[in-house]
Amino acid sequence: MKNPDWISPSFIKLMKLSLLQVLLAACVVSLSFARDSRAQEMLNKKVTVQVVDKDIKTTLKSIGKAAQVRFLYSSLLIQADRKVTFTAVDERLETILDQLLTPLKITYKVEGKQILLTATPAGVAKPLSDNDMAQTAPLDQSVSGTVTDEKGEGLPGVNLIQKGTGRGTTTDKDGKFTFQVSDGKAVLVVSSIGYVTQEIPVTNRQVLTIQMVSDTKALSEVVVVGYGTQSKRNVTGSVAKVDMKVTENLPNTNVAQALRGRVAGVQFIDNGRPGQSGSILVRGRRSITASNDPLIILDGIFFNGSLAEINPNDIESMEILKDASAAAIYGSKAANGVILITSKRGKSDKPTIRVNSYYGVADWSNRIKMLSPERYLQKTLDYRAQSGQEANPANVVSYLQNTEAENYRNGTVTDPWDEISQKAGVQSYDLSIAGQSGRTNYLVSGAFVNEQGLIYKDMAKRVTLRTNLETKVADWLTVGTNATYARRDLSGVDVALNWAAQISPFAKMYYDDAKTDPVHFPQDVQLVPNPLFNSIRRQNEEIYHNLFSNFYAKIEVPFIKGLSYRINYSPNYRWQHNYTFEPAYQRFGENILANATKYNVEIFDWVLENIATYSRQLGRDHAFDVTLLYGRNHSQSESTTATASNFFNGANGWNNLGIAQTQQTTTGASAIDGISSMLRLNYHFKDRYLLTLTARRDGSSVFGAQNKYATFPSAALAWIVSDEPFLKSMPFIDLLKFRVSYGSVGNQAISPYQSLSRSGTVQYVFGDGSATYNGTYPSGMANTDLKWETTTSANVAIDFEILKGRFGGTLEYYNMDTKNLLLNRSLPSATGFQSVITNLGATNNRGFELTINTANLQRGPFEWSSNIVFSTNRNRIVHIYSRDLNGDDVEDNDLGNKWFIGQPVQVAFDYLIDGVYQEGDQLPTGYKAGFYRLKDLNGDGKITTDDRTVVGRLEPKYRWGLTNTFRYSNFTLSVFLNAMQGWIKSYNQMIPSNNFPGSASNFPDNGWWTAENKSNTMASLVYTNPYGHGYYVSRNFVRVQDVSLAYELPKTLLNRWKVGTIRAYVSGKNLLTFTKYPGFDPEIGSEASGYPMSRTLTGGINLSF
Amino acid sequence: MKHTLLLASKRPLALLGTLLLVFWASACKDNVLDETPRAFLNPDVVLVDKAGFETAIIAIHSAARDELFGTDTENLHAMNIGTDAYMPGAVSTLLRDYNVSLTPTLASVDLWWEWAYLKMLPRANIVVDYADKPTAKWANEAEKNAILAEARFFRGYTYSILANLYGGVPLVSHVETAPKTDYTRASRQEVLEFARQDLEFASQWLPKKPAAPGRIVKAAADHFLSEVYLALGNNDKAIEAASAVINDGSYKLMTQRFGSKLDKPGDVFSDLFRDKNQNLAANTETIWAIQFEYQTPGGVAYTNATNATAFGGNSSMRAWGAGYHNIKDPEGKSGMVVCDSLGRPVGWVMGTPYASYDVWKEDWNDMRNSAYNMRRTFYYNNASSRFFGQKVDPVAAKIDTLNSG
Repeated sequence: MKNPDWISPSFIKLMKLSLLQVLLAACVVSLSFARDSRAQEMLNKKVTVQVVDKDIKTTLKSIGKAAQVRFLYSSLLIQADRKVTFTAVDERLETILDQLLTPLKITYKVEGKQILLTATPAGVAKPLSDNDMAQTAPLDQSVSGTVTDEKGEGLPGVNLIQKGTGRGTTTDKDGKFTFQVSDGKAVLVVSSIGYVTQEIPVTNRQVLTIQMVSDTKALSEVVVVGYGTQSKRNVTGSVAKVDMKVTENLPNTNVAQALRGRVAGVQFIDNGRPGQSGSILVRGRRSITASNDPLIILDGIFFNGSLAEINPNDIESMEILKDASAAAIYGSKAANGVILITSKRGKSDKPTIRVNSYYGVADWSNRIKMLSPERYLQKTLDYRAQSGQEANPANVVSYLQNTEAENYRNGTVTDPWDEISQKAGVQSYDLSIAGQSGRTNYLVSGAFVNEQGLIYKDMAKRVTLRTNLETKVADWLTVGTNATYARRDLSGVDVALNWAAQISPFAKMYYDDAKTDPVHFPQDVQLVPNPLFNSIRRQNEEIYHNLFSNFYAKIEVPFIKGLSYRINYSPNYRWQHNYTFEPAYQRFGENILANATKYNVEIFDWVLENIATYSRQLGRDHAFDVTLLYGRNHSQSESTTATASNFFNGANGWNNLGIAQTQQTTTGASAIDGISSMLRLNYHFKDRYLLTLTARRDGSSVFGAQNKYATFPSAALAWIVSDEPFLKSMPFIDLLKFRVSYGSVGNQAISPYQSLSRSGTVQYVFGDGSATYNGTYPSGMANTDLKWETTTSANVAIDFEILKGRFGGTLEYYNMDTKNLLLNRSLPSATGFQSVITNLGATNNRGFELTINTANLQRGPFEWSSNIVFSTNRNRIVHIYSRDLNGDDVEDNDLGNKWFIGQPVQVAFDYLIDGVYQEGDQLPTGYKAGFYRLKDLNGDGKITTDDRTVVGRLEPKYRWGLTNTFRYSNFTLSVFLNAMQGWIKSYNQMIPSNNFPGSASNFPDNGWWTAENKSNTMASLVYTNPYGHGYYVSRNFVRVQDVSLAYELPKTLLNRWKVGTIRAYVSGKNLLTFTKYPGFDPEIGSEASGYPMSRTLTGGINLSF
Repeated sequence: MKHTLLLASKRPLALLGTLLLVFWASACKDNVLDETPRAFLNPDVVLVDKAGFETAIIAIHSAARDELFGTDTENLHAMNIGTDAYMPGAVSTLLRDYNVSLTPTLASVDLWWEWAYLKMLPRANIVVDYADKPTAKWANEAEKNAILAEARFFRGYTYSILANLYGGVPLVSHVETAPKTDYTRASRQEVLEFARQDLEFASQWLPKKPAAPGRIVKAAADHFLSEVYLALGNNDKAIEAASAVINDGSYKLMTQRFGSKLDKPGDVFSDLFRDKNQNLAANTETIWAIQFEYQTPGGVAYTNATNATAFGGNSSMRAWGAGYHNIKDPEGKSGMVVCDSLGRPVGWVMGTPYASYDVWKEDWNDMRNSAYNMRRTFYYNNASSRFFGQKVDPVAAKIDTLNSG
């Protein structure tokens, strides 16, 4: 038997499930020999056995010897090292086996001449082939043998290393090897590119026959596709799977961070803050007004909470559905792509306990250089000189504010960044227990994360709990639940960063040395309050709860093979509160009354879905499956805000609003309903021509009465060329697959009630001591025609894999047309409204995506592999209002909103700076030397609005990410580079007049024009920017985003300790950024008034039992 | 064996049957997608009776307050700068040089345009639109006309301001229900004529005595009507309207001290500007007073997120007061600290030399130039200064005490 059929796809699927199971593939197969005999005869044989505290292997050996039978088993599968004590005197072999093996959960079966042992429940291993046999051998130092491929032919160049040592060899041209190992307990690591790496305990054998198994992981990888799973091979749409293993050694507190730069076509921008979600964009920005956030599906159900509420350690896999065919099953909300998140479940018989903990410290990756004390004084003098005031350096102190002057005389200086910093870092503890017992599988997990941001009072604490439970009630019925609870604590009033950036070097921040009593206006002027004033004085509690669950039942309908039905009911309850109390403050004529606010919101969503699936194979060549869905969803929210001011006593804080003099309550409530039905057909012809047809019909309450429903169809075709007979002769091609898809998806991401006319309320008083009178006014124009925004997209792709998986990847091209944009159309004020949500205009997105995986090198214990992702997206507006008022036969742009036909949705449209007017230049009226000269684009001698042009793109033209992974023995080093390029930003603080140069206010030191330095790039301090133009800077960057080094303890050691895995790691985040961006961070795009990016160093440990 | 199989097959079918029933039952409920507003109103349900229309009138009063107090920015004071009376304070760059600052993107340029078209006019027009609808139930024609008169007073008032600020502007007499973009300017004359008709109607139907302090009376309409007649060149009518106010019987100039600060030094002119004196029955100079009420919801023009009653009050002191707290003593140390009686002025605007000095040369003792109305003298009030209690010498301190410093 040359082709062991136990390597079935399902086995490989299992292998992927955990590290422990991966080892199953590498398990050595121990065999005992016995004389052959007929089954019943064999079992009737009477035997005497007596073992005391011996392992199963030894016990079986004695039984085999006594009964003269041969046992066939995998030591690992049946856990042959378990100790047993057993006595039987002259018993039938059958009785002995029953008594011995049943409690051990081992089943046996007589197969021809052998007795085959497997673990209960069956299904993990199939009968072993003769080829796998190896003779047990006495302890010896030398091992020799042959390594073969799946056909039993010798494999040359295979690496064999004794685990945990440097000893190793490679096989010769016939696949043979001889090898000195340290002792009989050595474990061999056998690896070769294109094959699954195996670990084989020598267990005192001298001769080994090792069969390698093709690494067809990529082909048989299972992908979640929404309302079901599919083998990756059979996927027709554009589905990107995120390997959560790659990021498990990184201190990611948010699942979305695993997307950052790692998936082609997916842009995740981290905002560098604890407990925050960042923003995700899949294949560009289609919508101008409506949301561009992708749809999140957690365990098959719409997830409306924050991604920050999901514990990344609970996540098995993440899939991103990018094209219309893949996403169409979620039609109504899928226009911005879909992220499917699947949580882990129990798989192994033995409960697996995992402990994962890390600790990290964070620091500012970059601090913006503000004006130093000397430069600040120079600024004061230069401003006065430029604005025609006295500017005598000898009198500089008199130009400062009183407080500044005092600190100047005392030599006291203040650094705002030091003032607003706190000790930053992260701690995470995660514990989970998962397993399968009989008909039930389970996962219970709990985690706690505590993140302290860089900025004072910016922190997040999160507790997450999860229970996944599934039980097979009967052969035809499975019921289960996935339930998770998250509590996020984001309490504390953050520092007001915009004021921090204005703090004078001579500011006085506190009255006391203990820094508990902040000065409200540290440099006297009211322009700049103390950024810490509210953070220190106000008490705040901000807590988010999310209880998300799905209860489901699956029925395998008997008699009708292939028909199954599933019902999901998924309630999601979220409640949040945000309470603030500000104590009274009376000082220097300032009178802040004690006041408090309580904000409570409660959101209840539910989804009910009926899903029927039917799959059938017709003859050899035709296979199909059909999925039918009907469901409803509902979301309702209500909120209460209670405010109170003038507390005569603040001791109770926000808990006793009733004692305040003025009390006010506002409330809100809304509801959204949806009805969905969906039909999907997958058809496979000859297993290499694949077709998917999908149609989804959705109804949503948010639209106009006549336009509640819309239908979204799509189709996809795939052709697995590598399975064609004409390519079989090219064995170096493992996979070549073409995919093409076309279809449409919808966007309903607008607030409810936009189709109705709305009134606002306002209050007024009449007379001294008046009560409050409520007024109403028209606040929203009705739009009874409001309907769905639809994106129609075409996708073509090639998946390939060659040279036994050494080189593989995917290349995709897409073109997406979005029409009936849900556009917040600006209205002339004369209508009485600023804007109305309408269906207007169209956008287009097209782009390339490339993903490449390579195994670059494998030599001895050293391995090097790479992953490259590259994506580019071109976004443009096709139509806006489709009107041509100026009669130039070109559709008019919307200058007010900066929307231009043919340009990206987010575009910098502005005047161009053409240097700085120098002394002696001819100046426009009222201008001075040191003012910016704007480019007169149309050459009419005047600067008018017609001189504005598209300066650049505000979103990256292309993005790339490169992961290099190096393995040496038990060490793994991974380095990830992330880059976004081809984008700019208007940097406000480059324009002097935005920085209040004439006031006691600080700003980033980017220089300024003076009569002496004659800068041609920076304006003078008195430049007032009469045209309100921007100063544009590049946001391009290349970042060493993640570096991690992990060490896994040797198996031999772990086996002795009865531990599954122990891995220790250190990792660094945002270690190094190459950029010319002048702000804190190009990715966040923050200026001195925004948030900095943190650089984090983390050490952690993963344990599993 | 066969028996169990049968059972097993019956149960799922029964379950399937039940679920299909649920499936269709929920499918048949078609109205689940209809939207019913939960926490907001709309004009169709509000503007059906006097009580509802009253709320619409209240909203116009609130908008009217925003004309002068709507934002906490210096933009509001563009109306003063450039007149004989005011110029930008030292800290302000607003309209310091019309050539440089007065561009189409200047915030002050569209401030009152937006105020008029987005706030005043729709709030007034919605009353006019709904008053004659069959859904509006009125006790009698007079009840309806009283409501309409107050709404049309504000509409006329707004158009007269628009005509004076922008000349001819689009005439909008109702609230649009669908996007409209083809607006054209009416002539200034047409705008004023429109305002005249509104104010004439208001004059006819408004009460002589206010229903409550701050509500609009006939005299207010007559007052603005006289302005509009003047602008239209109809001087006789202007005299007639102004005379109607003078002869109303309720109004005359105050000549005797009155009100809340009687026990404090002052004069009758300063009494007009003291807190609590505007709504007094004794104050016969008030025709229409914009209302503020401390620590009362609705008592201020705008609020901030954490304090619904403490912001958005009368910001005149903040804008016009001198930044006295910046004054240094002769040793260059802090001479002044912020105090209750002087407030925390920023000094966005200040009097022109003409208004501060020249105009008083004729009669320096004019009551309006008294120490209670024009503060020209400050005393060092910082206890830690060696000069505490001494008079600030403007020459030594290098300041103009009417400036913002």
